[in-house]
Amino acid sequence: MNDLRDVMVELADEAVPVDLRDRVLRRSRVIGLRRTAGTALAAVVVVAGIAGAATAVGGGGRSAPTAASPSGSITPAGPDPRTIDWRDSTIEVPRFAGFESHCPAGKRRFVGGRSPIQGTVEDYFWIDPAPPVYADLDGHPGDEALLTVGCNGEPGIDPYLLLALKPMPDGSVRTLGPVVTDPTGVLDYDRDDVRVDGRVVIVETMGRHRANRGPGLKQQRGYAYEGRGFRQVSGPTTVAAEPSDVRRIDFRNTTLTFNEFTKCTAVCPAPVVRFVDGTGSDTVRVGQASFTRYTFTIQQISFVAGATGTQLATVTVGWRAPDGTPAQAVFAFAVPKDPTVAPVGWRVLGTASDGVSEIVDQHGSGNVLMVTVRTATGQEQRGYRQVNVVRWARVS
Amino acid sequence: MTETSAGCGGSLRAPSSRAAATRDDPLAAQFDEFVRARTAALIRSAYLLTGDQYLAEDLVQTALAHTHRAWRRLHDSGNAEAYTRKVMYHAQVSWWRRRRVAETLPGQVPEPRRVRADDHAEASTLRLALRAALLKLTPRQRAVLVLRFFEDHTEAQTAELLGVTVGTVKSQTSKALARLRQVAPELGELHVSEGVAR
Repeated sequence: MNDLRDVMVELADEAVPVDLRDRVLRRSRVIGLRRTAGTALAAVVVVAGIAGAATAVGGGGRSAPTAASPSGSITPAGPDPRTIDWRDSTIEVPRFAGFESHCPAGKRRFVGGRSPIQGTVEDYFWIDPAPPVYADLDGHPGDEALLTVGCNGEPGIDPYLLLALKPMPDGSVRTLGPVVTDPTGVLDYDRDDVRVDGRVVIVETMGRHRANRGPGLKQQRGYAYEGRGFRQVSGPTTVAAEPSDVRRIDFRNTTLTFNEFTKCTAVCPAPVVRFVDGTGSDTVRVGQASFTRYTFTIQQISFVAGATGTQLATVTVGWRAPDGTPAQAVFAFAVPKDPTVAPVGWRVLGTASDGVSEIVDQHGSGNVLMVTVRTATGQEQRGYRQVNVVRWARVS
Repeated sequence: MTETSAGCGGSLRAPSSRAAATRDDPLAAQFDEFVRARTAALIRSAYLLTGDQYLAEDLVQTALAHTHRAWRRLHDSGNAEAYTRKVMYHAQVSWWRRRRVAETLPGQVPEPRRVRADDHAEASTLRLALRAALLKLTPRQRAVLVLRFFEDHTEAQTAELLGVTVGTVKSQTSKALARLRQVAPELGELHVSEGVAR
């Protein structure tokens, strides 16, 4: 069978190599002239951007209002939501605040978990294939289903909502509303970490859905149904920004993303872990609906200069593999451009994949990370240097 | 005549003085060497992104020009190629978004500029079908496919290069593959091997 990559390579072979050096230098000069002319305008834009960001970040940690008793008319029980194939159902999709033009609200018929938007095959609403969470959320007879409905229509963002759905006696489905509500817009949340405590839905929010950014700092928030919709009843209501100096970030008490936390093929799980006193957990999804819960501990934090001279924090993290084997890896973190985004760590080395059985120590020496490891033949010291943002190379 | 470039603090020189620049200016020499060594590989990727030799050259030229402006910062970092590719992918997406080139492309696929002697009919058919199908994707979808399946980047690396989330890479990959199979059913038999390198 032919491979897509092989055909791409053959197609790329059609390209003719040429010497672009002189043209590049001419284009470079043109860019320089344009930048000079645009400097004044850019300054105005930057000032406006800073003002906007300051408004968005807001103050730190106002607490949520307290819960009120559910209200609304008594609703008779409908079918058990566990008997419904939600991926083949008709659902009232509510408003995606801020994304209305690409993700229109309205009744949608889903087939195989998808519902095309405006008849196109490329843009569609989708239902998360993960099993829904079932619980009584409205205080009336019968349970409701909590599931995620997303919208592919918004380029570069793909927002999604956690919906509470109530089967009605007449066979229809009533949408009690999006659960994770926020005055600033549609909030991102960890789809694999939704639970119900009493009638309060507990989620890990991750800031607003926005293009060109990674997961936001996680916060545990609680939402309760109050007759006309959901309202936040616990947890913080604003997001505090992280420091802009990597040495001032409290890595034992923040959210960290671990890219390629295990040596992996192309589809690499990337846990987003909210640490409290150096410990945090996250559910990692492999494939469409296979889940493993990991608990991570931060073991050591050092600092080293990266490829561009930027200071990086190198963090040794430990966890247990699904078979119970202890695992470790060192990840390198830079300060994110957006202070409300979780710092993203890229794997430097780890156990069970780099001939290493244990990471004993790591510390920076200029732009080289010196790592003491245990291998099958004993203890040794290795040096690693950052090649680029995503890769490290062993240099000694 | 010697011209200087503001972007590199006057360290890079005009074409007419290439020999002198190489001899006198280590930064200029390093940039020349970088361009010489990496242009062919960059054009190959750009060709997949644009489907056209001249557009590919223009895209790489633009990306390398930005790299030239930042060369003083990049030359020792080991990041020059990653930077260039990042600029190239962003430029490609923004070009097409701004100009809507897709709407003006000819319906007929142009003949390949270079015919390989060892072509056989099936490979040739697949190659032409892929070129035509890639042009019917959105620029971002095309970029995701090239990064994931031609350059063997992981989802996370692709997200980093494109400045989007991993979720966007996943969804764009899925949509791009579905679209490829829709517009070119003959590509439906192609095996998609993810991450053979990593």
